Amino acid sequence: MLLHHGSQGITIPELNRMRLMGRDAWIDEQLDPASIDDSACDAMLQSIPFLGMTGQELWDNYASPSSGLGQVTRGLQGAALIRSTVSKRQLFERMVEFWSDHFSVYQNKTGKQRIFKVLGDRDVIRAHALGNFRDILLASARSASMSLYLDNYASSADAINENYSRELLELHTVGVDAPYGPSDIVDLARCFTGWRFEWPGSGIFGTFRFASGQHDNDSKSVMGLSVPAGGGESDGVAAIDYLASHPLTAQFVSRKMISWLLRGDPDQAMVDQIANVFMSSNGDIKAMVRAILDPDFILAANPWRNPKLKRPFHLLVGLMRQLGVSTTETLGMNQALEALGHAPYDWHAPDGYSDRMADWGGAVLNRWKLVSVLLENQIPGVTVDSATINSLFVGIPKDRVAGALDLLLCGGHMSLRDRGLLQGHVDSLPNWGLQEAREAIALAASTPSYQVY
Amino acid sequence: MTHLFNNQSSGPVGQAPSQSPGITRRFLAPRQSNQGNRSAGTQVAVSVNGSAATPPGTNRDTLISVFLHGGMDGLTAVVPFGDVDPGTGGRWLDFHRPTLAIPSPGQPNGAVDLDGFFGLAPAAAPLATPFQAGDLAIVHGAGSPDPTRSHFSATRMIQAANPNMPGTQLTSGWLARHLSTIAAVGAGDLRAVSQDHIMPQILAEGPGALAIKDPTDFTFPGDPATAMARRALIENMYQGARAPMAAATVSSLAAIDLLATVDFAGYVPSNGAVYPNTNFGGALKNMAIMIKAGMGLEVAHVNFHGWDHHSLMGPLTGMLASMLDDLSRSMEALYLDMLGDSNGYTLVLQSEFGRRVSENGSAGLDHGHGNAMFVMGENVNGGQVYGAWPGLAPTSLDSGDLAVTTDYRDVMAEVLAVRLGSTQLGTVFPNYSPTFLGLVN
Repeated sequence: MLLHHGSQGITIPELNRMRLMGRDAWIDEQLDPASIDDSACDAMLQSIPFLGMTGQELWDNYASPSSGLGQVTRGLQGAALIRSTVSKRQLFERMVEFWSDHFSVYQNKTGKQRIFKVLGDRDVIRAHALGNFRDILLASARSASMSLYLDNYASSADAINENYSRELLELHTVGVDAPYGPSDIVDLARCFTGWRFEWPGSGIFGTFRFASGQHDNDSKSVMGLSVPAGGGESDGVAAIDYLASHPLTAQFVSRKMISWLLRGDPDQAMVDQIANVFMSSNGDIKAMVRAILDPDFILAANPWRNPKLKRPFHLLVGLMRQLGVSTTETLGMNQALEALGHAPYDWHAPDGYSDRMADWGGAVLNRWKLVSVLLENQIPGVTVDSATINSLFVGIPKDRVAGALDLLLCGGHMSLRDRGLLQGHVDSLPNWGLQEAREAIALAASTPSYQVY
Repeated sequence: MTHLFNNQSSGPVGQAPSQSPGITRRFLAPRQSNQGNRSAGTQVAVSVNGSAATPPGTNRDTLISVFLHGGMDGLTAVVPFGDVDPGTGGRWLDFHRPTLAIPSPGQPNGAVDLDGFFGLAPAAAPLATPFQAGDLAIVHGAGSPDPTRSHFSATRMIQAANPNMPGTQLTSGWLARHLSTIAAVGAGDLRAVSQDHIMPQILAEGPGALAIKDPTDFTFPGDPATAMARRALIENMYQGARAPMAAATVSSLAAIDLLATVDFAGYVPSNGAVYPNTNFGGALKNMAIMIKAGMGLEVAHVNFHGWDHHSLMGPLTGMLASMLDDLSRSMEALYLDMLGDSNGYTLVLQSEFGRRVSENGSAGLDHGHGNAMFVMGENVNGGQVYGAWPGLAPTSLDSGDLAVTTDYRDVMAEVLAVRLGSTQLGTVFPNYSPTFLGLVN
């Protein structure tokens, strides 16, 4: 159960490794991603040359002709696909995906946004995914990525723009049910006036710049926080500090993190327990993840009874992990996910992709299609070769195929009904060859059991 | 308000459109430009319970529901150029929007006059076609009574139709409840299609409702030779699967068969209609095809994203203008394409809220409240702007925003009752007694 929730898809080797080392050691290891050798993943990422570039380097190398920016978009999406598929830092990647939705930025808003998203993904999301909530919140507020996306760069003392301020409260910290009103939104926006970024001519494109001349230096009041006049750049930092330590932020972020890692719609006692960890640890994300993945907490949450639906990204990446297939040619994978509405960083609104079964669960045909085209080698750049298929069934008689697929794809958690029906189908086949095996894998990945985790 | 054809039956009027590449302009009378139809007192109030004309089951319209996500600026789309400050004689719009206001008709880049008071943004000019034909009604100052300016809360409350009642947990959408409270037109396995990847709240828990992003490619995967056996297996496996997967499987398998009979690729729109080659244009075209195919579709929904213009809004040549152009050319194409077709439809369009009346410092507009809604179809009493105009004078605004004088449920309830045969408005819109405006006949 831990590996189902703490990774982008179980694999038998990883299950065996976890059993050998013990779940506690596995969590310790995963919460210290720098300790994990990830050279295979790093080698594949060499195919994307810009991941380490500064904003200025990205601008100089890719902005002209503007078609280069499309390369940047697709490259960053490809990096997400490669990392989720092959990285050994699986829990880290799970949390990267969580924060990418929490601090969602639509990559294709403008050409500059495509560059800024690369910086935000690296310097905000990945830099702090297992760090401290206050740090990731401040990094987001200062990032060109969020500033351009939610228009804070254009906000000034004589003409504020509320967009960032509203979503900072509603989506990033205290949540929409918190007691704030229009004046809180306005005053919070005033705290961040003058928080901008450098333009290409500066030579340091995309780095943070405080434009004091645009800052509103009068006093402000935000949800009980009094910000005295004359604070300059520290106004925004004070607001971040206040919101990052607010009990309602602890509630909001904890509820969302439990929903992401374990089960949707957690009950209040569970939320309170993790919110206490948030408050007592001053927003230590590792401490929260550790508490959520604690065996007793998982037992109480009972995700077996309240499973989550794999989103399309999870469905594709997880199946590739189980088949042991990966690629650096990710364009086809990305397009396959676009057809299901779930390519990375492609959600327009600042609330991030939904994680609710009610929203995604009706599109069943698309899911059957996705796994089918993967097994039929119809996703350009991805090959499930015959040797791979053969290796999965070595020593497996035809009448045990469903059990083998249950183990491979579900770790043995496929429902008896699904497994029985699948085996019945295999039994009815006059032949059992490579093509039949491909179809059987696709059918196993089309079972109701496989859609959830 | 005079309307020349308010007793017409459904169907084309005048010469048959199929015989002419043009259209028959049905609304010819010059409209009054006074404030008469904009005062609350002259709204046509029709009793909700029973007296509305209810078409018999098989003649029910398909409802085309369009939701513009992000907060479409209704003061650009439908410009109240006649709303002036009596003190200065200047337009209130210019007072609030020094750089973003659309000029009045007759001026460079001026609005397209609708009635001497309101006009369409130049980019929305194609909507004049159905408006002047009397088949497009606009309701201005419409919206939700809930004061939220949050995209997500506003959308949720509007689509669940549960504004101002946070204590009541309604998880279903109002269109879903409509479907739940009326007999299916067809077999019932596919009653509603949302052309999107995920199910919108408005259709959540709706019987026979599916999210199908691309109905032109809705086929069972894999080798056709083995498809029947694999399909039977999947059908069996998903019986008893978790909601919404089990019901969606039944609907999806039915939809595969229904959509296989529809010729999307070879479709030629009627009356010379040309859909823009855009996501939205393609979605409306697909709707027209599915409606004309007579497959029993009762609701067709589409989300149009990207209307959240906080900066560099571009009402004349920028982002908003290009989106309004897409929107209005697509709607004009749908209008022409469906004109005279025996499969009836009524289109309703709304956004979660309008935008702030005053522009911000970044050539954009923050979140607002009241907005324009559109209702289009051949049974619409169009060519009019409905609703009590709330006014743009600073004292008339609601926290800086256009006030809401018409509850959006009044519009939706009337269309449901009069054109879709609903007799269960109390379930569809709980805790609310709608007032009909006389939008449809």
